[in-house]
Amino acid sequence: MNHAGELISAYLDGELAGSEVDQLFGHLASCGKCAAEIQELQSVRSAVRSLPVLELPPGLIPEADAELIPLHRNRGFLVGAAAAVVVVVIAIAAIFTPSAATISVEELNSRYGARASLDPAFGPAKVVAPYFSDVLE
Amino acid sequence: MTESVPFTWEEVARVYGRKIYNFAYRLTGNSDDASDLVQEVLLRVRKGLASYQPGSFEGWLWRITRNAFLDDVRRRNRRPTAPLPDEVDRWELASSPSADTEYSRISIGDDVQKALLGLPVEFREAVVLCDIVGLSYEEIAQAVAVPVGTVRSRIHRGRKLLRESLT
Amino acid sequence: MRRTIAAVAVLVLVPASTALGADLDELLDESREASYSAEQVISCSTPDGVRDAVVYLSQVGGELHVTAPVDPDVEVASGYGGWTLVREGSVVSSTNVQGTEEVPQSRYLVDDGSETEYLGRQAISYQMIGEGVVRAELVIDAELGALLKVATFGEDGDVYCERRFIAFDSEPPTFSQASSGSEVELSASVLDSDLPETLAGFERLDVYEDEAGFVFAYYSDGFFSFAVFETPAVVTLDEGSTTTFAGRVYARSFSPGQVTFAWETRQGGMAMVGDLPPDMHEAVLDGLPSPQGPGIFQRLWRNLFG
Repeated sequence: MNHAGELISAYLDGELAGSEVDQLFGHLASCGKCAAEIQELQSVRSAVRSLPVLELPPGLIPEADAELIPLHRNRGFLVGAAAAVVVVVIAIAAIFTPSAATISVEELNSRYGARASLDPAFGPAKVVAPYFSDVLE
Repeated sequence: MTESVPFTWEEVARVYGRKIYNFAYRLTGNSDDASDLVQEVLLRVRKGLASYQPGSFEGWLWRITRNAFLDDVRRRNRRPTAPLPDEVDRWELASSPSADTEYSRISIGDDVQKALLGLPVEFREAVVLCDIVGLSYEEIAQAVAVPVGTVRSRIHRGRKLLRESLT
Repeated sequence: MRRTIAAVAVLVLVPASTALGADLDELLDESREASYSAEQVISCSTPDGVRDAVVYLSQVGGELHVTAPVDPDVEVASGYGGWTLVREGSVVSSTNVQGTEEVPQSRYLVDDGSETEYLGRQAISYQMIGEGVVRAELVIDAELGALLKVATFGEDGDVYCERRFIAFDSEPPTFSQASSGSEVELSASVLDSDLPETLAGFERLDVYEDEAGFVFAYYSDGFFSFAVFETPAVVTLDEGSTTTFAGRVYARSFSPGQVTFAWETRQGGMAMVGDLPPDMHEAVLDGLPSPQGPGIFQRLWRNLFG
C-alpha cells in the first residue's frame, strides 16, 4: 500500500481494528502527506457533522411529537485526540523504505474498460477480451 | 442499551420521523422532496410492519429509507438503470428557505449542503448515513447492501470530494 | 414496438450525409437497450500474429456480461454507466468511473447504410470512412439494433480486427445483476494534466487521478479510443514483444481487440491501452512522453533509496 487512503476515514470514524491502527501509525511515521490528509478530512467530517438538525415541517407527521433522539451516536471515540496523536507520531524518526511497485495489465484494463463503457460505440464493438487471451491456444 | 422495538407505525413515525427527514433533506437539499420521501418511507414501513421479522429493526428501517430514496432517483433518471446511477441525480437547492428550516442561514452550512449535493449518489448516501444519521459502517453496509469495505471506500472518497469543493 | 418504429425510421430517414453519424448514434443507443445473448468471435491480424478469442455475450437492461466458454470461472460484466467488474473465481475487482459529458468531434463520415442479411437476420450495414478510407464496417440488426458484426481496417484497407456473432438468440437472457462491489471508483477531475488535449486526431475526453497515484486520460476520435496511464509504478506486461519507433523502445502486447504499450520515464511508468489499428500507434506515441529506457525508473529509485 502506497498511502493510508481509506484507513484515514475509517480511523476518524472509529472503525479501525487495533492492528489496522498500528498499520496506519506505522505509515504516518514517514508520510507527511497522509498526516496532512488526516487533518483535512477531520475538518470535512466535522463540517458535515455540524450541520444543524432540522425540525420536521409542521403537519407532515401529526403523530410525531418532538421526541428528542440524539442524531449522532456517541461511540466513545475521541476524535479530537487524533490531532495530538498524529503530531507525536511524526516526531518519531523512521526509516523510509519504499518499494517501486509494479502494476498489472488487469488494473489498466479494468480502468480503460470502465471508461470505454461510457463510449457510444461500447458493447460488442468494444468488449474487453484480453482477460481471456491467455486461455486460448 | 435496550430500547423496545416500535410496534406501530405511529410509534416509528414519532421516534424516527425526524431522523428520516434529516437524512432525506441532506440527500436532496430541499424540504419538498424530503417531505415526500418521509411519507413514502412511512408508507412502506406501514405496509412492511405486518411481515417484519424481529432482527435488527434499524437495519430494516434504513434499508427501506435508502431504497425509497434510490427508487425516486431512478424514476428521475430516464436512462436505463445502471447499477450505480450517476449523473442525473442532482437535486437543486431550494431557492428560498421555507418556514420549517429553523436554522439560520449561515454560509458554512449552505456550502457544505451544496458540496454534499455535488457528490455522486453512492458517496452522498454513505456520508449522510455516517455523519448525519450516525450509523456504524456495519449498519450502513446492511442498509446499502454492499460490503463494509465498500462503505469505507465510499465514505473516504466522498469526504475527499467534499474537501475539494470546500476549499 | 419502439424498436420496429426505429427500424422504419432508419430506412426512411437516412439522409444524404447531413446526419453524419447521427442515425448511427441513435442505433448505437438502441443497441445498448437490446436484450439478447450471443456467441462472438474476435479475430485480429496483428504485427505479432493472429489473436483470437471466442466469448459469450449476454445483454439485458443496459448491462453486458462477457464470459469465455473455455474458462467459465472468468467473467467480465459491464454496464453502460461506466463500470466494469471482473470476476476470476472468487476474486472480484471492479472499477466505476464517471465521465464528463464531452463528446468528441468524430473524424469519420458514415454512409447511408444498405440492407443486408446476417445470421439469417435482417440487418443494415454501415461504413465509417476516415480520410477517404473505410476504417470500420458495422452490421446492425434491423430489429434489435444489436451490433452483429464490426470490422476495423488499417489505412491500406487490410482487416485489422473482426468481431462477429456466430450465434444469436433474441430471447432476453436472465442473469442476476452484477453486484457492484466497487473497489475503485473514479470521477473525472479537472486536472492540469501534462497529457495533450488533442493527440494524433484523438480528443482527450476525461482525465482521472486515483488514490494509488495513477493518472489516466481517455481519448477518442469518435470511434476508436485509448487510455494513457501515468503511474508511480512500473507496468509489467506478461507477454509481448518490444517495438521501436524512431529509436524509442516500447513493450507491446496485442490481445484480441486491444493493444497495450508500456514504457518508463524518469517519473515512473506509462502505458497506452486501446483498440486503435496499428497504423495509428506511432503517431499517438509520438505525442506522449518518450521512454527513457527500460529500467530507468527502477535505477533512479534504487539510487535514491538504496
